[in-house]
Amino acid sequence: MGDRPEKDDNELAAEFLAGDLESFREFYRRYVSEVLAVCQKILQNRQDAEDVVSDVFFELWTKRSRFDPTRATPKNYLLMLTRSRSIDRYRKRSRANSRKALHAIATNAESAVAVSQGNPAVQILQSESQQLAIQALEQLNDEQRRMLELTYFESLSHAQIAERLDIPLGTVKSHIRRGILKLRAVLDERKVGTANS
Amino acid sequence: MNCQTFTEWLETVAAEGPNLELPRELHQHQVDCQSCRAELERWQATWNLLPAALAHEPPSTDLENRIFERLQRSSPPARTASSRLSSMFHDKSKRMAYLSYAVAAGILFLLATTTLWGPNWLFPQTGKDAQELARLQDFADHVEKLDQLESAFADPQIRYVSLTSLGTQEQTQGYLLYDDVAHQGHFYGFDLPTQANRIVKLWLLDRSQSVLSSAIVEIDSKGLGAAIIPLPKDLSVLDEIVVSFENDPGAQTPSLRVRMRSKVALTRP
Repeated sequence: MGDRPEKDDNELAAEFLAGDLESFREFYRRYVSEVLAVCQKILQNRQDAEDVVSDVFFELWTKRSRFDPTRATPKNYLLMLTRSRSIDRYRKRSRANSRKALHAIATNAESAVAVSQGNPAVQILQSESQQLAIQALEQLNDEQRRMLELTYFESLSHAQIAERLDIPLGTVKSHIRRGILKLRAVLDERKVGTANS
Repeated sequence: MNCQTFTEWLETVAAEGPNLELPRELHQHQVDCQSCRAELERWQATWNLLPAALAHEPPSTDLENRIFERLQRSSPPARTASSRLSSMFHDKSKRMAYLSYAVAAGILFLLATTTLWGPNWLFPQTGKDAQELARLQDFADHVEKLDQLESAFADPQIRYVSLTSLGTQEQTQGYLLYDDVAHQGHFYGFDLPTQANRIVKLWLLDRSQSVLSSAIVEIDSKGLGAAIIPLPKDLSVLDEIVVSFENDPGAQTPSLRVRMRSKVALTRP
């Protein structure tokens, strides 16, 4: 039993798209921590984050026919859904609670990486892919990281970031472009390294 | 379409965000070309380094139980016509057979509606419409207008067309619901520009690109926009719907800064 090769995401997705709930449970266990982390980063509230995690997996299962494997990998689709639903929830909540939580994200100097590195309990949970991601983000300067986070976690356009941070649009574009190219370079190095080893 | 065009496009938009909405021809290319698809996935994986680097705290112990109990309570999932159609179309071996049935059913439907009710069938319902309906319901959730939209869809005389951004702002999107009783179009858009000095106009054009009617889209502070626009009584003259940015609210023709555009799918038998 222990020698059974682990199914890749595409195999799991094919099974749960066909209605296999156990495969869906395996997919859930593989990514729930990452999904929860994204929700919590955006919503800054554990209870809301768990509610959205529940909604995301519920939607992924009940509307699984909407997943088109030619448009995204299962993980990318899951993260896209997570990000989108978290931002929806954030916007709905912010209508009632003003925008203070969002500003807290934008002005929060404590980065996700710093949190991750400072907490021994969390370090235990860091997978190899998470360490690669942390290593990649360390290549960025503060501005680049902040702008990439505003793009990813708040879904802001370049123009909105420029307005928010009161800096020229061209500066935002060049920071983000350089930042994403640096991240890409780390991934590519990793790919080459894996291919050579 | 070739790999060079695809990679040039990717390099241009990769910094815009993680959700790279591909134009139709590029999507088809990456379906057919493994290396371009791998390149697209690589960019998506690059963006996904951001969530991957977050501190992963374990979920609470009962979260899994709560989620799967919820799934079991809801199962078997209520499958809508749209989801049944969608799953049929995932199965390539059955696709042609279903398409044949759909085409035959569509012809019968058109004949029946044309015979019984006259030319009151602006957008014939197809499998694609069913998928669009699902997307529209997502949209309705987003703008909390589900009740209005559901009642619109319950009315067989109301049709709609979706408009997707021509640019790379992934979420800029809109829908025009077509009410051919009151001869009015109801436009809803989201993630539209919220700057006070930015004027967004909706235009209906005929085949010669002449303007049939136009309306200014009212936009709230969250980028949600709405407009009501007069529709021509003779629907067959309507050819294209355009959303553009304008400097002058009194502009008589769309400027070059067109943000969304959609051809109206008129197929008069």
